[in-house]
Amino acid sequence: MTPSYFGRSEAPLFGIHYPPAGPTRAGSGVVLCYPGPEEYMRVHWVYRQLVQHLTRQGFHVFKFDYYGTGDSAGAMGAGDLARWRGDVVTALEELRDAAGIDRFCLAGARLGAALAATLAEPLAAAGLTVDQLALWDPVCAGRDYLAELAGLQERRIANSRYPLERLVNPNCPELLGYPLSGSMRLSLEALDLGAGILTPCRRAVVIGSEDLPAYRALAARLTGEFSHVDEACYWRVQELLEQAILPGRIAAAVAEALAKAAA
Amino acid sequence: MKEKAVTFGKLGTLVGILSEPDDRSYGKGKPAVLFANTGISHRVGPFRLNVELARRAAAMGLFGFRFDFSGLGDSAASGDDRDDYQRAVDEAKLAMDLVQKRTGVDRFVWFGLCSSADKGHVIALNDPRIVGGVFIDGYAHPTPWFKVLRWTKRFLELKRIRVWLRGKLRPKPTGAPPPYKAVIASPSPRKIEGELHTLAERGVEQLHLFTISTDYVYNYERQFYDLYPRLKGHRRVQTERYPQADHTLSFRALQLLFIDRVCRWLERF
Repeated sequence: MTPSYFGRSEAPLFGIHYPPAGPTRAGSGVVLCYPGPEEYMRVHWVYRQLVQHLTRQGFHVFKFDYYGTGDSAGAMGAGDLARWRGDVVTALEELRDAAGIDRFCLAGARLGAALAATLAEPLAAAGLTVDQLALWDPVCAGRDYLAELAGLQERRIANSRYPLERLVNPNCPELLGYPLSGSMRLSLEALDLGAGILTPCRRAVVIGSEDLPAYRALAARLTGEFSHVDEACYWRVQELLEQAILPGRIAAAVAEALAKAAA
Repeated sequence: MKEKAVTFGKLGTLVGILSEPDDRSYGKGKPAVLFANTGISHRVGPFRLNVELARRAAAMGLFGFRFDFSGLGDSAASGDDRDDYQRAVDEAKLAMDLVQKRTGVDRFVWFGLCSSADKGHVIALNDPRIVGGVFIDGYAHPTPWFKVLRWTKRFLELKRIRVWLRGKLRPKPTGAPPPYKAVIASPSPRKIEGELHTLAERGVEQLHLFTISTDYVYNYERQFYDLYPRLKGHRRVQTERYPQADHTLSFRALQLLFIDRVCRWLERF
């Protein structure tokens, strides 16, 4: 395990490179894309499990924090989806340089899955290609996602015994404790995995904790597979907003899907 | 401000981030601030609180080090059977050794929220390099006046009654795990008082902050001094209660309020 800062020196990103823990899958690496900041803390543990599954399968793995999140540079709310797409590409380049590999997979949950699926332009600009995509419960429509978070915020205030409504500042928009900049709102509103160019790849799998038509449609657009793993994730349950998501079977399914096709 | 990612510990399996002020020589006259895990969440802290505070502290000229205890965040499990608190003391020592070696700083301030406040208390007792501590929602016990206020508030605050009723009537999420409730045996008030007094006499500056989320056990401003009368008026000890703040500071206004408060307190070093 090698933690480091990488990317532009004026705005470095934090990432950790994990070498394979089993027989090395020649030249293959996986970059993990985190969800948005509202769900980042909830998945940190399961991403750690995912790293273990993937390294045991022989992959180099790289996980990192987008600009303005986790340990990376930038104030909270400073990033937007365009910048984060650039961060994913920078992470791919970092993994390429650190591990000397040339076959990349991208895996991510929720907003991280949406970012992985919409990298066609920045990848082409960087001259990189992606071999496989593994998308877990992807955010398919940014507008729905924003409405979902706003609904959770309202329910959190209404269901609290404490007068949290007094803390809402209409001049500083925030969602679930994280600032929401104008550019992030706009980029989320523009996010639609049902339209536009998706990330070209050899193989894609969409893994859903729910069997939703949007997931099946996305898999079809990627000419990939949809896999329903019936394990509750509680993304939209207000009472569990600050609890870790621990779906061990989904993490295993993501790793197995990538390993199977890389064999 | 610069940040460096490091691994440390005997096997190099603990992960931390060292934040440095732009002028390293300025930081050498001041203590470094230590941050670790709140509960089982990783070192960045709830709503990235530890990152923001470490960076503000660096802007004030203080080194900062945020790290994961073994088995949490990005640090590998230790694989031994040490008591959780003993392991925290041992690993905090390793963290301080590392910072001391890299920066020359040999005095430290612990910043802790919830379980991290409790661990910081024990770490401060066990390592003389700790010269200050911020303890948010740390140890607390009910007092007689607490009980009077608790029953009074239950009948006077309409929102509490409304939300309580709604919670009883609302169907629970199917198959969802029950909400996490910490069941931790807290040391007696006399023991805590004695230990905090020992720390204060040793010169350890203390800032004890309480949010409304502890109001099941702590619900008025002066409760700290009713619990620990020996600390009343002690120049090393400050305490405040924030009835508008929830446990993890889940609104931006609360995060900024606490960051400002802690930074003002850090100015004393």
